[in-house]
Amino acid sequence: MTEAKYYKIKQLAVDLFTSNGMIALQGSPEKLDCNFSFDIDPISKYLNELYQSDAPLPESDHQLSLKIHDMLTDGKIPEHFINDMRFWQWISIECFSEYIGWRWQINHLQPTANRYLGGGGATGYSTNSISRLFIPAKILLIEKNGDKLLESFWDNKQKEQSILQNEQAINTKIFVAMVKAFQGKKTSEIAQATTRLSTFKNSTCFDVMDEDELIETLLN
Amino acid sequence: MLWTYDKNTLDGEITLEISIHLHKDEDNCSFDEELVFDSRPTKPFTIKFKAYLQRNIFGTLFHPDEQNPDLNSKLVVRYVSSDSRQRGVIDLISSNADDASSKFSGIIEYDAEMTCDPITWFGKVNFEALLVRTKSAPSQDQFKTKIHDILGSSNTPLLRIDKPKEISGNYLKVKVSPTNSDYPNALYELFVESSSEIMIGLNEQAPPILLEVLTSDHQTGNKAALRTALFAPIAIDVWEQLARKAFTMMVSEDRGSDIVTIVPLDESFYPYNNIADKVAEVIYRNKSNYMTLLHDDLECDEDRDILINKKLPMAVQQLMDLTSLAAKGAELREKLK
Repeated sequence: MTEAKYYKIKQLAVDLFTSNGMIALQGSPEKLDCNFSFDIDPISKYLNELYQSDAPLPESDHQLSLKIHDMLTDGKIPEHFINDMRFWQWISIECFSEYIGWRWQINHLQPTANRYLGGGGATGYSTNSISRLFIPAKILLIEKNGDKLLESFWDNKQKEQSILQNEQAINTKIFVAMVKAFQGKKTSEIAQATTRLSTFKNSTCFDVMDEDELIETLLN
Repeated sequence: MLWTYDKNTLDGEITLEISIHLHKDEDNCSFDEELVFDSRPTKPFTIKFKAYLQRNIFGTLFHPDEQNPDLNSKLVVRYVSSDSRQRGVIDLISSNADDASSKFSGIIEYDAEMTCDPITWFGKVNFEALLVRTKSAPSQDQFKTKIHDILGSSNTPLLRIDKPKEISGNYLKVKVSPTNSDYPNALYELFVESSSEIMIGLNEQAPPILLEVLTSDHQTGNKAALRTALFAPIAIDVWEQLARKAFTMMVSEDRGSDIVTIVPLDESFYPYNNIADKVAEVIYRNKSNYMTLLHDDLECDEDRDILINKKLPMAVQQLMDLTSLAAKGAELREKLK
């Protein structure tokens, strides 16, 4: 079992890589206990098989979303760490750095810190490689037909970007409505609906709508 | 915190005030008038909202044929904290709508409250009161008639649960560095060395007298004035370069669609988050929702172009007070006579 921790202070992007592009935090940031633990072994075995396969990189997202969700919920992750980027930074850097380098093809020629660290706002949780997998599963799996909803969330790259990075979809009700509305839709239709949501954000209060109204608005 | 509302100073048709009420056992935590906590609270605290709506707003927002317009709308307060992934609305309840006092003053007061457990809240929280339609009406030109239309909005108070990191005093460092072979006549080059140090490298092939002035450490006197005046355009250009980079980091364009997503920069983007914050504060004239206004400008190609090419060059001059810095150099002329 791995004892979960979080960095006492959020880590900074420009301190993440050495001059030759290797991932290494400058100094030894203080870590604190999260008071829960998780079993990383099943995912480690799955990842080792994945690294050997020729499947396109995004195809692993759905399965890993389920596995990360199960790993952390089985470990009883306290609710408040789900929205604490310091925990996601720790798990990304200390438990999944090899996966993140593989998934985003990060190397010394292309050292990208954000996939380890996340960033600000709604986009930050989509940028961090592990929170982007966990949060959709956490929101969708408690819904009716949650498995199908999660599968549909990951079946199109446009959905992940349009929903998880959308500031309105920080409201869980809007997040779920977007996933339901976009089931079976083409990329162009999803992009159009998201643009509409963005265009009318200052003139329509989506936060007061119920789910059916949101779906209708997104589809018309 | 006391309510600051005074009907004589009410400057908008909808005004929102918030007050923070700490837990009785919260010992070492306080906040300032700008609603910035000096240290993170450890216990749940209550946020009380008070909103004021000018009754005559109904006469301008609803078509004259519409009966009882105040019953076809409601006032809500929307909270958004991207850092905490928390967003929602709370209904504001009128406390005096039917009172004679409200009819006399023309102002309706509303109240609401919410509890925040700091264990699940981070960074900043934006609040805004919105007057929202609750019932559709027949379509009329120049009137918003659809259910859920936003009819009006308030000022946007901002609560900072985590104090923003200050830019340190020795933020810009200067040293003489090797000439950039591609640009041998360039005087300086900007290097971002680490999260806490930005360095200006002066071309080692520049005339020694110029390097001597630019690297002098005089605090007062003519040499200090000359250095300040000569350095001013460099510092301004550096701020502009850093702000442009910050803006670029904030704009994420999805390939294959027209969607532009704005990425708010938190402290993991330091120092770019502070640079964007300071420049936006100047550009949007200290409005409390200046970062929202910056996001709106960055989201639209045309507005972004105006922001970067027109507003930014002026804002950095304002920020650095270029006129005063250049005047210090001009004053030397009198001393040289």
